[in-house]
Amino acid sequence: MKQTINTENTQSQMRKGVLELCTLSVLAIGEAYPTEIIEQLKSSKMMIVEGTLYPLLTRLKNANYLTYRWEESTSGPPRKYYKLTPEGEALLKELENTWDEMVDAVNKLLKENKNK
Amino acid sequence: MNKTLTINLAGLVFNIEENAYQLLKDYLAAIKNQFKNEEGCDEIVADIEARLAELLKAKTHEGKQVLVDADIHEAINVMGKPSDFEENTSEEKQSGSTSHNQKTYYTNKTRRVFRDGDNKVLGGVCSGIASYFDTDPLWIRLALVVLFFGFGSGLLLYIILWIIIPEAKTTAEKLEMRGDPIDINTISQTIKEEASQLKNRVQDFGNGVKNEFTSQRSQSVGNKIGNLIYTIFHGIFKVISKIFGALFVLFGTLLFVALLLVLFNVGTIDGLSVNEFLHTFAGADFPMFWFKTGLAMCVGIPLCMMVYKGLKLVLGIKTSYRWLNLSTGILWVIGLVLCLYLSMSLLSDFSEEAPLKTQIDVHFTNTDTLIVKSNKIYQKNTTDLDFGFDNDRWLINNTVEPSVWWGKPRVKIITSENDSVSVFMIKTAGGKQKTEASLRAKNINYTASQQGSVLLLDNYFSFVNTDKYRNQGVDMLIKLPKNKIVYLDNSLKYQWYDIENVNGIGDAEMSGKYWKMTENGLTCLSCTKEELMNNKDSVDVHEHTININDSNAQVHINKHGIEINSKEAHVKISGDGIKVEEKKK
Repeated sequence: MKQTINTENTQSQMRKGVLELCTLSVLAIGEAYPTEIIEQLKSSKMMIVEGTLYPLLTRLKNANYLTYRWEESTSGPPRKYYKLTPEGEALLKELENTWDEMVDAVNKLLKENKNK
Repeated sequence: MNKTLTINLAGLVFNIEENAYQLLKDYLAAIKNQFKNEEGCDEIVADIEARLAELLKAKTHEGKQVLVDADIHEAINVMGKPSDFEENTSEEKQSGSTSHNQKTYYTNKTRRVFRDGDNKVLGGVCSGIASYFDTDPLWIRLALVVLFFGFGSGLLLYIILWIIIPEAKTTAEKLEMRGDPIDINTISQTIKEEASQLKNRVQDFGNGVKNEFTSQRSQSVGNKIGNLIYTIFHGIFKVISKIFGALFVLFGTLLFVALLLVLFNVGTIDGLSVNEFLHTFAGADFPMFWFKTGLAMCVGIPLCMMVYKGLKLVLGIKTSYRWLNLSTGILWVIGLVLCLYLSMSLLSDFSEEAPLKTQIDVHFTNTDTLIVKSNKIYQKNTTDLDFGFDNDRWLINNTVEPSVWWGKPRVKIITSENDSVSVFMIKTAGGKQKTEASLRAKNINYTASQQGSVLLLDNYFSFVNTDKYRNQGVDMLIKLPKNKIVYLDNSLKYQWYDIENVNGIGDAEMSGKYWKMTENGLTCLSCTKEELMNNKDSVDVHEHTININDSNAQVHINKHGIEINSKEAHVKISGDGIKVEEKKK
């Protein structure tokens, strides 16, 4: 049984933790289908593999934070366009606040320790 | 050229190569497995399928219509491995160690053996087996290293396992590698599942039959019966093949170890070590190394294949390698040819025999009793090896170099054509040519001599093993005139050979007695009644005579006529007429 902490694993856990927030944030701008979300997340280096997003979207949808509609596509299968529900918007606000607080707190902590 | 399949992925049609299809199928199965405990599993899988379709669609164009392995690999790289999909949704999963987390995801997938390429030292055999048995690879490696010192069998085992166990390449295979551990729970669960499946099938079948009778579609009933029987027999066959596989592995390994022991000169054949055994036949010019190599190939390869097939059956591995079968087949034939050729060349050394007959200079009077006894020139030492084929037994003295072989001569007594006693010695040996054979025969040491009325014969003849065993032998032929009395001494008890006697007594039992030469062979003069009685009911048929011995009468038939000797009377039928003598009671 491995008990060692894997750096890569820790990083991916961190990323996964904020993936929900980022996804909600992307959708806050407007409707998007998964590939669009993925592209934006990838461009900001928030995502390594795409597979992670689909279960997340489904979970958020099932928890009523998202809704979607089908749209035919010329280049492939029909696409699911997701958008935030009012609950989703509320969740985003909450998560944004938490994030800001956390970033401030962590940065402060790191800086303090570095200057010691 | 590759076979392609047509698939429908999220409503899009793709032409896909068979290998690529298998890869994609495994991947999707792994994903499904990953999310199967989650709400909305089907939806997630459908979404992923749609995205895969989109990615794969981009891989095809006018010039390239078929999807290949590389396309699937690329798409999978973009999507990520199922293990990367792991979400931090529930707290308790986070608290556990990662490996524990992984395990909870891979439930309900039967575990199979794969080589673990991610944790490999050489080929990932040990780590693969370790994850099969849920242990640390270190232990398996240690066991193998220990086995390595057992005549290198560890190395051999490792190579065999390396060849037969496929590497876990696809994600699905990696999942299977760490799938449900095989323990009592999973086995009972599997059995339950199989049973319920079977039950369902039987029910389906029953329903089907009911429907069939109303709708009159009997062909389908036949199909269903076929399927049912197939399912049942398939299950039975699987179990039997595993048992056979285990037996193959067991016996193959045992025999292989035995072969190695033989080749590395451990163990004995009839008191001789294998090397000594081979060297008794093979001269210095014999290519022993090649013979052993041939033997190892000829016997070892089938044993290896036995273990290989057995392991495949036990572990349920279906992959087979044509090159492996072909190359082992060729090697086996080479080994066989090598063995046969060298054996034949060795056997040709026995092909010619050259008997060397000499008359011994003896002068016996006809009146004295001839005593034949042994001149004990040799006795079995405790260090001697008692070695032999059937009746042909040898004492081999290995304490001297080169070793000396001692063999028993054969002494035969027959009727002489003239009035004097004559003694002949016949030495024989084999060889490629007559000259070689007679040279070997000459090298045999044996003496016979006269001492008054005693004929002294060596109890053993010998030859030095530089000559090698080539069927050497010594025959002593003693020709006695009629009415000559001879005493066969006990010291040659086991040297008497096929001596004709009217009483039908066995060679060894003839010793220690006085015999008189008659027309029909030797007649016992000093035998007790019991000894004669013991040899009742014997019939000896020779070229010119027939002897019938019974407890009531003896019958001798030869060129002189018929002689019947019973307790009551003596009857002789000859050219002189019929003569009947009644015996006194």
